[in-house]
Amino acid sequence: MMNKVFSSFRRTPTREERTYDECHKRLFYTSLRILNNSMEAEEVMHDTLLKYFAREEFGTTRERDSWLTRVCINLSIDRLRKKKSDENLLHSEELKNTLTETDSYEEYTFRGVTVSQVKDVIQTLAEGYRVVLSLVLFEGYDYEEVAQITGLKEVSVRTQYIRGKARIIEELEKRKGRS
Amino acid sequence: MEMDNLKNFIEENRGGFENEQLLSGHKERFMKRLSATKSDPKIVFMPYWAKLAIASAIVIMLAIPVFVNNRITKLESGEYYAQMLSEQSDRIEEMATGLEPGEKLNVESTLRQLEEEIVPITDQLPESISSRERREIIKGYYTNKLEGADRLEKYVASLITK
Repeated sequence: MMNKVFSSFRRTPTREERTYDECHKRLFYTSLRILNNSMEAEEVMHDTLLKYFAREEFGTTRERDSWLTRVCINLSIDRLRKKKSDENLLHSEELKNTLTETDSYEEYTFRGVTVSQVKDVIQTLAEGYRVVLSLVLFEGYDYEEVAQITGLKEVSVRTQYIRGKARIIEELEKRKGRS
Repeated sequence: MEMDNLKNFIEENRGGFENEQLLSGHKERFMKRLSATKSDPKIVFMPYWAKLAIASAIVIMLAIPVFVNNRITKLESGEYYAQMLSEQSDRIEEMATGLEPGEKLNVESTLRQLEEEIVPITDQLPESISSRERREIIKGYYTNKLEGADRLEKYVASLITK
C-alpha cells in the first residue's frame, strides 16, 4: 500500500534519463570490447551520450542508435590511439602479416567451447585484432565500413579479421589441449 | 562475407558476451556530468552575417526613435511642409523661365504670396494647445498652400504646352 502511495509521487524520468536507460549498456559493451577497460568504457559511454544531448534529437530510434554506436566506436578508438601510437595500434607489422586462406579455420566448429572461453581469448588479443573483430562480429559492420572507421585498407581489415579469428581458434585449441 | 562459425557462435550467445556489471553509481556520475554541462555557459559561435544582421537591427532600433522624434519636431514646427512647399516653388519657378515676361512675373508673384509668411504660423499658435492640435492646425494651413502650389504648377505646365 505504502509502495503504491510513494510510487504515485515518483517523478517522471527526463528525456536524458530515458535515453540513458535505453542506450547505456549497449554503448558500454561496445566501448569495453575495444578498450578492454571498464572505467574507460564508462567514460566513453558518458562522453558519447553527452555529445548526443548537446545535439538536436534525431528522427528515429534507429538513426539515434546508429549515430551513438558510431560516435562511441570513434571515441573508443581515439582513446586507444592516445594510449599507443597509431603504428602500434592498427598498423603494426604483426597485424600486416599476409595470410593464406588455409589459416582461417573456416571449418572450425565451436562445439564444446564456452562463451567465457571465447570471451577470455578475445580479451587477450592484440588491440588491432580486437577492434576489427569487435566491429565485424559484434557491431555487424562489413569490411568496407570497418575500413572507413579505422582508416585501414579494406584488404587489411579482411586480413586482420581472418588472422584474429585464427588466433582465437589456435588459443582455444591450446587451452583444450591443456585441460 | 562467407559462412562464419565464430560469428554464428557469438550471435547465438550474445547475452553471455554482455554480462559484465557496470561500476556502481554510473548513472549518478553521468547525471552529475550532464548537469555540469548544462550549467556551463555556452559559447555560441555566430557567423559573420548573423553578427552583421544583429548589429544592423540594433542600429535600426536605435535610429527609429531619433527619426520619429525628428519627424514630429519637423511637423510641429511646420519645417516639413515649408520644405515641401519650397521644393515645389523652385520647380514652378524653373518651369516659368520659359514663359512670357508678363506671365512669368505673375507666377513669381503668386509663388511669393504662397511662400512668404510675415508672422510664421507656428508663432501665431498659443502655447496652451496640445502637440496634436498644433500638428493638425499646421497641417491644415500648409495643405491649403500646397494645393495652391499644385494648381499653379498645373497652370504653368498648361502654358508651356500651348
